[in-house]
Amino acid sequence: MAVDTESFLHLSRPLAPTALNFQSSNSPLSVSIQTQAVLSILDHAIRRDLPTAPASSSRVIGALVGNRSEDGSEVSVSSAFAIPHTENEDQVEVDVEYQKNMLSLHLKAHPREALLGWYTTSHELNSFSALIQNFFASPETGTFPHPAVHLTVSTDPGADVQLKAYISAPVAVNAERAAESCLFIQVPHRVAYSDSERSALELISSAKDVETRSAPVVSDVEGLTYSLEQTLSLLDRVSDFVSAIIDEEQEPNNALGQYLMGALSLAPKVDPSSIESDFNNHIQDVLMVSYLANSIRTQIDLSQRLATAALANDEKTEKDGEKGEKGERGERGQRGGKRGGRGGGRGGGQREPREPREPREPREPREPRENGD
Amino acid sequence: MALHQEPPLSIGGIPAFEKALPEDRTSREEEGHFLVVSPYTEKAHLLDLRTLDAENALLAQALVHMKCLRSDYATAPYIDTFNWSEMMEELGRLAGRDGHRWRETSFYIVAFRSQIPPTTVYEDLGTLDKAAHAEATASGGFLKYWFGTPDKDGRNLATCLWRSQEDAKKGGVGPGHRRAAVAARDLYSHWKIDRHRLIIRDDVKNAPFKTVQVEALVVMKIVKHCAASFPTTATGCIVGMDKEGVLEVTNTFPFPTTDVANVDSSHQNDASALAAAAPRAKANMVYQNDMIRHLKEVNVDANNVGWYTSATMGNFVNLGFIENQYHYQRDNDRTVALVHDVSRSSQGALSLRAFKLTPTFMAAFKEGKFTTESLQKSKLTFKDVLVEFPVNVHNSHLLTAFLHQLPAAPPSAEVAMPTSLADLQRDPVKLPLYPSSDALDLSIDPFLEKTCDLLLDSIESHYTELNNHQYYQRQLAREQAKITAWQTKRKAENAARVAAKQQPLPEDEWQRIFKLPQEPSRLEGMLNAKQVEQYSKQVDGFTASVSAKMFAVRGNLLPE
Repeated sequence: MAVDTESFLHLSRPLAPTALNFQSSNSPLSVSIQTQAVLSILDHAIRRDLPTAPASSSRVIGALVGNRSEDGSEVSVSSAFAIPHTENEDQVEVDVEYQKNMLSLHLKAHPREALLGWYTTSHELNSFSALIQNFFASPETGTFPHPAVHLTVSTDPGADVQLKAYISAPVAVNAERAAESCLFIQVPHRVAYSDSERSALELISSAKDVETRSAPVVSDVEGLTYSLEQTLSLLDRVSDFVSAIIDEEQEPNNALGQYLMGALSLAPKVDPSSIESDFNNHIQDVLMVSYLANSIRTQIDLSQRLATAALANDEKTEKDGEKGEKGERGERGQRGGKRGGRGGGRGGGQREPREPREPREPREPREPRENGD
Repeated sequence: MALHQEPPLSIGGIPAFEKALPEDRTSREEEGHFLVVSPYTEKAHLLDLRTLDAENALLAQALVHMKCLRSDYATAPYIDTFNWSEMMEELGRLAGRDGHRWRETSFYIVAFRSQIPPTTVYEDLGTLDKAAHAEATASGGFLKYWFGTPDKDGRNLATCLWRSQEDAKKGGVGPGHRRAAVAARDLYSHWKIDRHRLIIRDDVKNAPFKTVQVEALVVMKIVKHCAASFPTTATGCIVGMDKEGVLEVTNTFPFPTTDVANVDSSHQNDASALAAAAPRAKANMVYQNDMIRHLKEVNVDANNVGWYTSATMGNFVNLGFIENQYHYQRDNDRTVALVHDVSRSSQGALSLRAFKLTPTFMAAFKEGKFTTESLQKSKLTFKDVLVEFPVNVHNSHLLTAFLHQLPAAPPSAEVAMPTSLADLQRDPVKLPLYPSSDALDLSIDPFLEKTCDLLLDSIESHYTELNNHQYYQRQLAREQAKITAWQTKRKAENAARVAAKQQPLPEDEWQRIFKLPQEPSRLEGMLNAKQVEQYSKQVDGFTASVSAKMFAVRGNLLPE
């Protein structure tokens, strides 16, 4: 599943210097970016330092990490981490040490991932970009022999968030300036999300039209309600469209008519009685499971209560007994009777196999007294 | 006079009390707005509450309950000498009664440690002291005065609590105080004055959080990590901050796991067990601290606020989960466990829940005692183990902009009509992410089946627990029978010995001879009960949605 696939013609990637016994492939490269990497970058863009001087740039940079297919023709960016850097008119400083440490920390938790390239939060490509790109593409510190991917994410207020992916080829007017120049070539990219992330994206999207930009995690039934409402409104729309055509209020459309016919013919032909019985059977099964689950819960709840409640009950009866002995004899008999009833009720429970939690020995002293009554 | 500047005494914040408790008149010897704040009860020694602002008046009233906890108060550390925690509780109660929201306030404490030689007449000191106290009370801001009696070496402690250092200075310039100070030179053999600052923090900062707000980035990262390692358990750490009753979770990172790719699937459980234990592993603590330090450099909130774990059909309530959360909550009360249920999310709405251990359970778990007796005393049931918090997801502005670029609901305006069927097939309508039509999926039986299996497992472990207890009880009864037999025998023996005019043998020796079996812990059973409750609620949820879907299907296939 992917969004944001632009039509893109990409014939071959630029020639790159090759290692002695490594023939770099020059087949097209495609970049897929997973949503949490984009979210990471956007989060970093928000948490940027305020520019100290007006001249310094407000963009932030970070590293892209992820997987590369075996032939290197496809890379999948699965996460990103920020790297502190400072940039002004004359120079750029990237915390190389930080990048190294963070990468090793990240790889500890994701052992099968590798450094892929870097990102920045502005579309501008300048000589500093080239400098950083060459750093990330170099054999010692970067992705060589694979090309380093450079991802630019526009984060200008009031504009759409746009992504662009590049790889680079070395180019230089002379040897001295080779470090700070390179040729950026745009490559196709897509934002991809898997099935498992769909539900998460759904939840996140539910907050996109809300003023507070936050939404509660909904239960299954609530989610179902929203989905049903949405589907119903879509169906209504289609039926409105069809009836408008039948009433000759709207121009008919052959393509849509064919499409709708195709869709409707997919409905299975069934025997009403068999459906009725299948339906009844299944709903009974489901309700039975629900009933059983709840009775198991009640049973276990009861067992837990009895496990701790039995002793407390006994203490109370003991106290009752003491008071009773001090009091009138008739009253005592009455109490004794009550006690007996309670004891009997509990005795009934005892016969069940799952009632052995009741501690036995504190009951012992009570029996003779009851007999004495 | 030797003056020692001491570091501030920090005695935590006052606990927040939600409801006012009934006022305890008897313990507050109050006469209108005059309060007895010293051992002297004459009018000149009473504190007028009207002269004080709310914080000081409340503290003065709370200080009425000041008690000395140690008999060696003359030499003991100041903070251990008095019942500060009780007083702070009382303060919270008083603030709650008045509906007052406490603001951070600092107070000034003077502790006078002295030693008098045996020659000094203690009563003389008392007269001087009384005069000085009346004077200080008149000058204002004198919240509490306490003194002990000299111990056998003549050492003693007297302490006063002031509104501020300025008040303390003002209170000490009068003639009465000077006379006492002059006398002190002759009457005491040794003395020392310690000064402390008492800071009572805001109750707002100390209020426990009520909801958990999770940033979209965190949701995505957790979902991704849990789904990638499914069915192995995945765990990680969450960072964020606690702000005005909302625990904001703003970033997360997974804990390192052992690579199980090359190991065959029979070791899967080991990997799960390792991952489940990861949050409390020592190596991961180092990793966590390292990571948080690095994140701090790029302006990420650098406070650990808990951890997350993945679950399958809600099967997370186990001892490992409790131990992890205990491990976090022991050090910091503001931590939660986020549970992401991978299986449930795949069939419906995302399942992300936040849990914390209750304070009662924390206390019980710390003791490590879950016997019948202790459970009766603490009234702890399986329902009190975990407390769940509502979870909200939050997006940044930038993210909201990004989300609006993803497929949205079909536009309501007029759309261009397609010219051919191929057009429609080539460019299908993209369905919006929310509300998702995936929720309409009909295959729910596998989930019910799975939950039933898990329920059966729970019953199994319930029986194991029961058997353990039965075994214990049989064991206990047998031992008890033996003891009774022994006691009767010893009694008979003693009767015989008394008859024979011999010394009777001791009758409590059985305690040494017999050993009662240990009662098995009830914790497992409790957690199992909690787990069953969880499952049955889950089944209820499934039933609700599946019956709705089934009626929809019937309505579709059998139109009336």
